[in-house]
Amino acid sequence: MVRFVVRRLFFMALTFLVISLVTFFLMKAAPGSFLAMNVGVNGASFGADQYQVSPQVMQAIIRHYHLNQPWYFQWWGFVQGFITLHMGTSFEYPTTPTMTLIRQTFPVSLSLGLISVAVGLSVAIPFGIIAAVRTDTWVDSAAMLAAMTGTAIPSYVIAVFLILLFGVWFHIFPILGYQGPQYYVLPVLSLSIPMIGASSRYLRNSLIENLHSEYVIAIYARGGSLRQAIFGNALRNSLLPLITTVGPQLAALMMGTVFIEEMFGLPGMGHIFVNAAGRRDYPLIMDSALLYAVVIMLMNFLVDIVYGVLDPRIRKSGRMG
Amino acid sequence: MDLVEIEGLRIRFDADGQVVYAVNGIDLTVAEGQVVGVVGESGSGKSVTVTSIPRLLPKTARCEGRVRFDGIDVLNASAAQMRAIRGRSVGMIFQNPLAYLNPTRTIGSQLMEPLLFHHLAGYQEARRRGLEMLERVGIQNPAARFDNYPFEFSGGMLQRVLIATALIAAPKLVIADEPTTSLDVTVQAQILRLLKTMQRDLKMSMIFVTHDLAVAAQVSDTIYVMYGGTVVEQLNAADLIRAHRHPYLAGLLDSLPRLDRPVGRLPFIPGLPVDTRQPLAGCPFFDRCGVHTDDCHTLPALTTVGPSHRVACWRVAGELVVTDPTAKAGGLSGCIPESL
Repeated sequence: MVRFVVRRLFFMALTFLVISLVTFFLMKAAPGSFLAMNVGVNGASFGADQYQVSPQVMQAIIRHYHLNQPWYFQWWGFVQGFITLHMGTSFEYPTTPTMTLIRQTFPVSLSLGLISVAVGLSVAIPFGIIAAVRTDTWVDSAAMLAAMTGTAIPSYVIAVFLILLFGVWFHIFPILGYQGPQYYVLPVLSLSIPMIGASSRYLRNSLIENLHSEYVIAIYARGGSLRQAIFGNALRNSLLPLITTVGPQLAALMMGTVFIEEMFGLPGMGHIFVNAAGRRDYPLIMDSALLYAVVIMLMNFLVDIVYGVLDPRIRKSGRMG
Repeated sequence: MDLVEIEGLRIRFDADGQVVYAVNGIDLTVAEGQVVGVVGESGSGKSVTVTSIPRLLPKTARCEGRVRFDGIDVLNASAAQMRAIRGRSVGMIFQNPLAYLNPTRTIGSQLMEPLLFHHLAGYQEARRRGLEMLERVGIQNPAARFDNYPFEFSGGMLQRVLIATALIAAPKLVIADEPTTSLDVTVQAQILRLLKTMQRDLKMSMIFVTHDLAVAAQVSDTIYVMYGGTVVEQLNAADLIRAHRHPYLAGLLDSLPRLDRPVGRLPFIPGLPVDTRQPLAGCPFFDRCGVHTDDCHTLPALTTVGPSHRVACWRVAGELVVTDPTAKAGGLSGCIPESL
């Protein structure tokens, strides 16, 4: 177990470096720069208010952000700043340290993601069980049709539909901004509906497979009922692999929050991420990309640890991954 | 009345338009305390037949005929009635013990289940009896092993656990479906001895399914030889070598390697097993039988040829009315050795 954790942490560090390099080069390869974009097009643009265009100031800014240094110096500057949590300020928000920005906005995104996973799983599990128990009946077909539809439609399309249904037609939930828990309902639904689809299908198939396996026949042979076969045995064995899908699901969800926050006007990190990319705000692009990478890797890591603890075959033999 | 009475049992599987005729009319009885061996090659319907007694066949199975266990009409009993029998009056032992145990639960928790499911004992009592049972089937240090998981056991040990599980509620009948097939030979012998001892001590009936004639002869009182979903011969285990009559059984016995004969190529039964996708027309052994006649196009019934000895073969049945002893010598020589 300890060996697994150490190995895993090592690979996470390696992945982190690779992601930072790839992000850095892609970012540099994108045409235009923050200064050029906001200064060159017309002097009245947003950036020009903050940056006087005189060559001296420009030089000062370039020096301040180390833009005249070789690439590896710049790259390491970003990575080091991120690791030590001394990220400095970004182009776009020169007066607010990036750390403060993250502290203000990231909790919104993370809670949106986590709540969506929680809602998704707590709906998907009963859905999957019902469909598995009623295999090949109309209940099963209806549940799986709903699941397939949910999976096939992207979350931002579902979001539009939900806005129409609950916001415009029925006036049940607010559709823009963030002033209380009810503002979370539609964003969470838009994110969790695709996940409900995928997870309930996964659980259904895995549960059906387990219910047809020999050890379940053995439970019947000992006088057990379907209920005992499912809740004492098959469900647990199907939930174990489901847990492993939660990691990737969460990664997809976190990316989904980027769209969803824009659509529902939530003050989350995704909004900042998108803006930073659009405006070539180098420090902010690097910091947000690395933050998302670290969060997703950590979640996957946690999921694997939980799996290892729950499955006796792995827990006892100590072999993982 | 016998503990198990199967009459005219037919089982077919219907899956997506593909029909498999697995069992084509079987009569089988098991008396109290008796050990019945069911022998046959794969696909002969032996497992399907015995699995129908606790009604554990998959949903696609269609059964006709009559199966009575302990006075209960199994094929028409309610689900609750069947649950009340399983694990309590009928114990089952399966071929591959690892597959028949839940990998994520301790063997102890699965071992106690027959007692807990049927409310025969509380948890503490069930645990005590579970430990006792593990000891009885030869598990060293049962208290430590109780909370181990199946993957921590060897195949032979797991089969012992499965036997303990099947017998913990002291059932009237234990069905052992190829219990030794997946084990190596030395372990096989231990498991056989254990099963036989337990059966005697607990005064149970047992149905022992195997494809191994020698194993069947060792443990059973009576042997049913199955072919193509029918019983072709039923005889006392003691008569197996001396008095067998059916050409199929003769062929099987012939193909066993023997130490008292010069070493050479072993004889075998030519041809392929029955195609179970077709309904049975005539004797299932027709294509492979060296002595078939025109009569064999209709299915022969089991005919009594001696005390607790029945054969389903037109040739054998026909001979019973043949008075001239020389008439039979031709075709059947080699099939039926010295016994006639």
